[in-house]
Amino acid sequence: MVCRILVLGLLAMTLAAPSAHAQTAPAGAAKPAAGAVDPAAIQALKDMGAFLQTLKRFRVSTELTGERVLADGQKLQHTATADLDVERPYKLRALMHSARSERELVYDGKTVALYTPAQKYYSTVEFGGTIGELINRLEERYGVEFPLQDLFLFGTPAAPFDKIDSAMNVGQDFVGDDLCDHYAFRQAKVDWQVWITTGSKPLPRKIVITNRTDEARPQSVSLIDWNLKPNFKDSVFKFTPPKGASKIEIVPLKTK
Amino acid sequence: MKRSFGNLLPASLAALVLASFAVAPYADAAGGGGRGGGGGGAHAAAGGGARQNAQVNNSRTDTRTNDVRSTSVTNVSVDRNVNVDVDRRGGWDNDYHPVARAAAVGAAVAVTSAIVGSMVQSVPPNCVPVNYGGMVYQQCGSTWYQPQGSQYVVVNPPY
Repeated sequence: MVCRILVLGLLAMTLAAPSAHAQTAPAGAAKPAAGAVDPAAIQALKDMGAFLQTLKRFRVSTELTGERVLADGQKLQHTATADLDVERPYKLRALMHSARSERELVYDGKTVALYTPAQKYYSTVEFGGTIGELINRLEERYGVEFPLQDLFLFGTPAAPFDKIDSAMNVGQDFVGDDLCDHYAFRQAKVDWQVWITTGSKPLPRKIVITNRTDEARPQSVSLIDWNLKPNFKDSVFKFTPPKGASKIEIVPLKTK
Repeated sequence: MKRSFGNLLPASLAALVLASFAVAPYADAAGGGGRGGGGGGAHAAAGGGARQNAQVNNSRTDTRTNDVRSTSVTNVSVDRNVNVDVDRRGGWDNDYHPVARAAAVGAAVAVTSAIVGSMVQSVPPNCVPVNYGGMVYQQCGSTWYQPQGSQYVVVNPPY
């Protein structure tokens, strides 16, 4: 009896105060304007970036599914993998693998070597700078793109988050066994999503990037695995040309 | 292609800095060059194993797959700078791109006897290997090849 009265009472309150309801509800029910930037989502990126910058020595691996769009709009998928051994700020070894090519990039803080094991060809460029600087230089000067390069730029001035037009929290989701916070962003020519592990170590476990420059919207999906206590040796950062390898010229990017 | 001058300038300055290709200053230290300490994560096969031994054979690939008009991108920061054109290239995974790029742009048809996109078992002896955009090519006069598995695919000149 008491129970029923209580229920009726609650019902009455709910029905009786529509205006009060409308005033308190918007936080949960109202629709934010399209393109709104949720500051909490930006903060999550900043926290992740700051945490990434604290990592000194780690191994990170990725499995990527990419797409290409044919002339008539049909999409094809392909896959590639990359393994990176990293010691900030000056040392890195990256192995990139696909059915079409296998490549290595080794940087010891003084020289960066690009090696293709199948042909046993290598090229070297002298460079002294951080990994982040190396990434920019390789991209601008040689058109060499780098796997997971965002990971080295997040949390630095090279990746300001002020160009993001829309940011939202999508909710939580699992990547593998890890519970992650899922965020979605829009900026310039790409939409992108990141899954960041919950808890004290905010690491990106998955990144999806949608290219909006083509109406077919080709998308890349990168699953990311972390090892924060890697067992590699310092020697992995030193490139020594294997027997029988020959050095070839690397040609700077030509502009047309 | 469509890079703005604002972006070219720093790139040319960077050229000065990077201008010379060092003669490899390697001592015979360490056993580098080999595979660095095993694979990691979900695709541990990267360090060797069955995949390495399987030869990729693309000789039956349909040539229509070369006619690529755009690709996915692999880095968000690629458009951190509005001067950078996202279409310019896709990402680190675009190792088939050169065939496609010229086709999509409709670049001048290379004067070559070899049909772009066709596969060959070996390249002529006069070819010069070169790294461009992080990819290895064999330039043989006006014909360019890109290694693909144990074979070579004829590509449009990358530059």
